[in-house]
Amino acid sequence: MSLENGQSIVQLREASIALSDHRSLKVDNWTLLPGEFWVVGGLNWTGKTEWLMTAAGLQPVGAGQQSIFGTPLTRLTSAERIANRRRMGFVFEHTGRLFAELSVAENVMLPLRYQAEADAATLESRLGNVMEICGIRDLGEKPPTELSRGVQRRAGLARALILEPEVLFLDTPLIGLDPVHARWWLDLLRRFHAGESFPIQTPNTIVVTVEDFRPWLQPGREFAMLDSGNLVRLGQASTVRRCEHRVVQEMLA
Amino acid sequence: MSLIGRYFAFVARSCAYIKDTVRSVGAFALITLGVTFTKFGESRQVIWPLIRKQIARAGVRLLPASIFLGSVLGLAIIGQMVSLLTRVGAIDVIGKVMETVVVRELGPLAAALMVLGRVGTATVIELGTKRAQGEVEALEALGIDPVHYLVVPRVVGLAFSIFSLTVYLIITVIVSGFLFAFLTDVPIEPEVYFGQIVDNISYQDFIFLAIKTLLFGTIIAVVTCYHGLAQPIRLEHVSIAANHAVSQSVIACLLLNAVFVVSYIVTS
Repeated sequence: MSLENGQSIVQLREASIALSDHRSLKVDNWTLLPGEFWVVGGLNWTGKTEWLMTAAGLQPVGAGQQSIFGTPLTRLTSAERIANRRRMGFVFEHTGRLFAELSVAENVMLPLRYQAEADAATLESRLGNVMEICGIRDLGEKPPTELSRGVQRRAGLARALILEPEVLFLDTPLIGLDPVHARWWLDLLRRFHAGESFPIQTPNTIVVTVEDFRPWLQPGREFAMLDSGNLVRLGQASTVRRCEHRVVQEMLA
Repeated sequence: MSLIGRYFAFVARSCAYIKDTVRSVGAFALITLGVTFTKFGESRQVIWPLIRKQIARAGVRLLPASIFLGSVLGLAIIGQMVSLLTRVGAIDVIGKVMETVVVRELGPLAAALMVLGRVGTATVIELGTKRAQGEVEALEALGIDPVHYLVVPRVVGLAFSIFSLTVYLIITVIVSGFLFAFLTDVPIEPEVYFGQIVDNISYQDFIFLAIKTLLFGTIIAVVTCYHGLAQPIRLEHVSIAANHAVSQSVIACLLLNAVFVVSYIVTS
């Protein structure tokens, strides 16, 4: 299954996303195209995680249309869903939701071993490459609980990259990080988006949710925000800088 | 509302809860069954080590406890029963009583309840914690079927563990029962004691024992996994889910046991 020219990766139209405590989030029309870098901001409790999980096809919409790689989510068979999941990496917030009973290396290898398509040599080589890219090469044997939150999140990134996805979704990747680690993430995602060469295939289509727009204000990126139960499209970085919306001002302050 | 009115409201609520629980657990069991058969050979390098881990946890590690329990039951109940039957001259029925009490009823139930207590509760807590911490969504995000990865190994592992533990428990109960009789100078020869038991156990007992213990394991695994996994749960509710899982597993196992009692009566 490959993308035809101009075909959307994700499309949400007239969509209603269920949030906790019976609230909902409305998305009139949002499309993710190959090669795009979306930065979606929102303050606490605006539904960033739910929106991102819906965009990644992990959560169905309550109403409206939700298409993944051109096919409505409801029409996908179980096998097609699994095939789609391999094309879409997801990095969860905070500790990356690693599996505590597995070591870091086992966590990272799990999706590839489960798909059972790689021999031992390929597995080792791919593992070494993603661990190297994520800067955690020497931490493979450690249990996740012995690592800091920032390192656990890097392991979560390595686990998302091991299947060489075409799209990467990241839920507030910079939250709680010191400036050094935050710069590492920003630089790596910039290189992914620029299509720089890595030992493995890396995604150049990226969607991140953020609480602070400032580190992400780079040309060539699309910005949106979640406010009052709606997804509001903001445009490019230059427009965001000039925007006088109260929430945008909060996220630029 | 009057006292009687409140009582009927309580009964109605309880009936509705039982109906919903049976329906939800039944649906979860069917999903598990479907995944077990359709994906049995898939992802062996991940799933089979998990099955081995569950067998080690629910079977091998419980073997000493099973032998201890078998010895206690053998000494306390079977030994005294053998002693009593011999004293009243009913030595000829020892084999039949042992087959009915130990092989059909006591062995499978004792093994199932032991596994439920040691592993079933831990399963609810483990899976409930995973669910509460979002690890189930993480599996889905990686293209891993949570039922295949988390439930199937537990169902297979618990089913085979309870079957194996039951066999060891029955052997221990029979041997320790004789040991008690020997130590208390009950005049019964080993060849009479063991010979009667062997004579009274038929191929049907082996088949029913296997089916019953495999079903006990399946029920315990499905009910505990359902309470840990199948519904949204918060960390503070995990202990309540464990309580529900234990009580429902016990009830389900006893109901299944009743079905087998009827089957024994009908087929004998």
